[in-house]
Amino acid sequence: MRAHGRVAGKYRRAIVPVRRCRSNFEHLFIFWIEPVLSALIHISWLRLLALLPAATRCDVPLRMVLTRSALLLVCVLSLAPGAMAQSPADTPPAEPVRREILAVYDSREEPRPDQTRIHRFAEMPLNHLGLVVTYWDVNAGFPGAERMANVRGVLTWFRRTPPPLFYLWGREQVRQGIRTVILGDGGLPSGNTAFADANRLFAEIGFGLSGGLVDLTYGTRILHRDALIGFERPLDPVLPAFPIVGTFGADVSSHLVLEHREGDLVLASSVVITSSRGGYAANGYFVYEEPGTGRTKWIIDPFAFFQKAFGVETMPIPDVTTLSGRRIWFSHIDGDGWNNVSRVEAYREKPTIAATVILRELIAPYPDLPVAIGVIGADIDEKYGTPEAGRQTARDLYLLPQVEVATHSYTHPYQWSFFENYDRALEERLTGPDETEWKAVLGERMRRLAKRLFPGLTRKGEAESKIVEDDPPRAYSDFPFDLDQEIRGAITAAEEVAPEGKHGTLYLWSGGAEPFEGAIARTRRLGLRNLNGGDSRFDADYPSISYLSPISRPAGAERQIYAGNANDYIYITDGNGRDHGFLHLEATVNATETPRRLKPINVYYHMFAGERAAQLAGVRHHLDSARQALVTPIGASHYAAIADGFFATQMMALGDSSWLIQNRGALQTVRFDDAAGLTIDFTRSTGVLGQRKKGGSLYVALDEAQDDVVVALAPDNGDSADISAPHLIEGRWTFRDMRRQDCGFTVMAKGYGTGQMTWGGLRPGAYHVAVRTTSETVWEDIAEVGDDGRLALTADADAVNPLEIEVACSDENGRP
Amino acid sequence: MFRHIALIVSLTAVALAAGVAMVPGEREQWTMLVRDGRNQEALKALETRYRAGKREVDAVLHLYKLYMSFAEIEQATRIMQEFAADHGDDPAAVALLAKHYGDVQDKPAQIRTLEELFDLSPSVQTARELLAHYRLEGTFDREETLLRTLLANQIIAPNDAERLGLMLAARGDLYGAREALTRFDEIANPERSIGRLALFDVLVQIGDKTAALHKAASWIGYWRKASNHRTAGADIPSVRLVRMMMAVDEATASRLLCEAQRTEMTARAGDEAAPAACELNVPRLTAEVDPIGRAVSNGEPHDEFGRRRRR
Repeated sequence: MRAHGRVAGKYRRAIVPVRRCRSNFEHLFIFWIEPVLSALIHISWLRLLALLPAATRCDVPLRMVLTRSALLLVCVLSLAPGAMAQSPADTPPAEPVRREILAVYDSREEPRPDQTRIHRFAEMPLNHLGLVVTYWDVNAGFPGAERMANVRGVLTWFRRTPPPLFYLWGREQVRQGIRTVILGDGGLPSGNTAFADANRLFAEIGFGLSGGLVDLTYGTRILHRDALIGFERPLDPVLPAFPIVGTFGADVSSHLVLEHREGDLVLASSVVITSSRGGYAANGYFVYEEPGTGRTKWIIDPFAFFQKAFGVETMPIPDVTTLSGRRIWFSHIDGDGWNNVSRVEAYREKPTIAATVILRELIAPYPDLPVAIGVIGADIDEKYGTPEAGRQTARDLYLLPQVEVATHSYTHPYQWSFFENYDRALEERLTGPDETEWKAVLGERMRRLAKRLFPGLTRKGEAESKIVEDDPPRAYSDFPFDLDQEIRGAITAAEEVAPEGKHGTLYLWSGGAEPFEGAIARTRRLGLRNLNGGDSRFDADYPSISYLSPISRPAGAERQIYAGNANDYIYITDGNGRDHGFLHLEATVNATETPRRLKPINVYYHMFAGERAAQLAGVRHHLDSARQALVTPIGASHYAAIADGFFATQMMALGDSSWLIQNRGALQTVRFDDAAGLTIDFTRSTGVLGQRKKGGSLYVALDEAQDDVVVALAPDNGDSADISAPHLIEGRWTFRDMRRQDCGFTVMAKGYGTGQMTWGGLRPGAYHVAVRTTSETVWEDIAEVGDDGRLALTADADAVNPLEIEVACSDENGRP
Repeated sequence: MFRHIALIVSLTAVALAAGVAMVPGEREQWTMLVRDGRNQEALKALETRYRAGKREVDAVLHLYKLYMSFAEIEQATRIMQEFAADHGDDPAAVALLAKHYGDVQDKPAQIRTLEELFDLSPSVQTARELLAHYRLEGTFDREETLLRTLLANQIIAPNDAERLGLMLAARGDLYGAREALTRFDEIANPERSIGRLALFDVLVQIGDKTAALHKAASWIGYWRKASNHRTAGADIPSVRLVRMMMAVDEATASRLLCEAQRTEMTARAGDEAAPAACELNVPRLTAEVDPIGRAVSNGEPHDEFGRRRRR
């Protein structure tokens, strides 16, 4: 809070005229003088004007002078307070934008925050609204006022009854203006006193439960429903059991009201509500789970529901999907299968390891697509008996400019939690041979025979479960686990095979990708970004946004950044195994772009993709698609940094549709939803590179060169040529340090592939465009800008190292 | 001499014949290529045979697998579609086509093919896949049609019969609901209450009160036993059922309940100890009516999605 205040003060003087806060004394005057005594002030002012010449005349008697002077003094004094109370402008004071949602969960049911239903279902939509979810175990007491100072809302989804004090605490929070959302009613207490406490909390939010539950619902009819209902699935004809819910307050919106009749008794129940104090949705009325397959779908529109319940109005939403006005594209490879011999026919003559195949087929031919490669330390460590070919391929890979140096651990832990409280003896017991060799061989032969004779014994989905059941805690367990070696040792091993000066940037979690807090902290201390896990997908087999992960996974005080999409292993182990399965990533890529851009594109695969032709073809398809798509390719560590920026970003509402944005790190895009009638006001904004509309959203590109930026909005009259300032619309590269000039601008650029870009807000006419390194011009052109003020160009230059772009008005001969 | 020459000639002829006989045939050639992992060559050989109209089942399936191994989805789909068309009466071929559509995530085609498969050879497994899809997609009319077919074929599961009954009751088709819920009553675990309470209500609504009361009396014993295991505070289905019975016809309900009680006690104590007269003794029968009248829970446990938990 203090930090907010200091910065606001700085910007008050420098950028936007923000009115200082009035004292209580002044408020008193505003209250009395402005409405009640304004007439008196007016009279005093007129009298003063009349008295001044008279008081200054020489030929008036002394008595009259004294009288008039006294009257003058009274008039002046009566004007003074009024003058004090006048405000220079009616702008409200700067206020921090609260983005934190405190998810209160019950560790008796859901041991860790990342195992909660809130994390699985609700956190992604909340992140999309720009909100940050933090977790609090209801069994660990209740957070105090200081902890709640920046909290926008509280969210619960209990299954068990929470401690009775929760309801009292919750009620106090609602009274303090913290919106509270109750999902489900599984945790309702059964005792009368506790139930009454619960109802007191609910009453503060705007609803109350009678305590009754309708379970024979075939006589129930839908009295009212709005657009919030039926988001991914319509209401079931057999309505789920529902409680009788009444509402309190004019601000309560009932989104689904059911009417149940029992004889003469008519009962109405609002099973989904929102209010200015929070919201509620009854069990079975917000998420549907298909009983046979366990597949889930949202019944309510979670974006609209949370937006209403948490009161998310027009505000800049930190966005991790977009950069330079285009969708982010990034790729990374986990090193699993690095030294496996490829079965691809073209490499049959001379046995070739999978990593070499990947280098030749998927990395070297695509210099325009960056990729982070995480080698497993032990895979290139002679101590583990690995071949020289693996080390040489690592050197060849890291030599390429589009390849980022990353690591995928040292010994490849499958279950990170096992190593939080490591027990070497236990690991040896788990990994030690429990069969003599002949028994193992015989056993394996018997198993194969049994499978051949009784194929029905091979259960569907055995492939997935087998891996979990049979996995040892880590792939290389020859030596005792050492966290320092696992983190620092792993990145050092990767750097040792990288060219001098090329440092490791990223830690890619292995196995189940659920690292413990200490492991994440260790990567942070080394200055590494971290990534993996999440397994986001949205396709025919998983047809819901409920299968899209949030941006990160909480682990104590740390955050693990999830990958953008599920990896190839997830797809190829679908069904009974689908080598071509990674092709289906395309469905997720499309479904997360329209109607909302929910995720960046992340082509995330493993080195073992080099073993089989179908897997290779799957990855190649996505790389070829990326060349055709309007995307901004960036390094995977860059994405992880952007995701970190999402959580660090702080915003202040400055009033008059403008916001100060700070501490955003690498995050360079904010988004406004429902922004069809809005545009950036470049005259009031600072540090804004450009804007682009997609659907109903406005994506605003921020200038990396400025730490603190101000984003101001204005009504959009629909004429793009009206925007006077040159600005970025979209581009394949990333841009920074834009300097607008009388006619044109300069900007620094960096990126992969040819520099496709479109600029707007330019005056019509001819422009000279030059792209320069520090020493020479590498590309130039003359371009014509029409009445729409747009300049579209493709600079054929290598921007892996930063370039300067200059766009300047030119004469007829093309001279600037 | 002549004999020697004849021997040599005949040996040569035999050797030649044997050599010719040992040259691998077309079929043997592609199987060897597949075995050796020379997939490109095997693919060419099999495609040539396929175009020539030689479409043995194993050769076609190998051709399909090879296309899939190169991620050539369109070609694989073409082969599998033609295979299913060639064996249109064979449920196994149609099932393979459905599996292929599932593998390539062509959901509409997969569902269409599963429907064809069900028409060709109705099975619980196929129905289960279709029902899961219909329910997730919210295509309830198709779900209802399939459930009706399952009911007619007597292969409906208890949960599905209950759901069909409730769907039909919600739509006002009380006779349809009665049929489905009666089936549910026949096959479901005797402790299950929701479908039976609905059946009772449906029977009363269509005027068959006697049947409703007799059925209710037959359930009450099981539900009393089940109620012993309920947690404190949960509403008891047996009590609720008794209330519903009494509301329909108090005299008959009392008589039937007494008979049920007597039978129960007789079974417990033997014929000699059976009481001569019956005194209606239903727990909480006179308890206060709860705030929402009869519309109360029977206390069946639900998960967070509102589904009844399996016991």
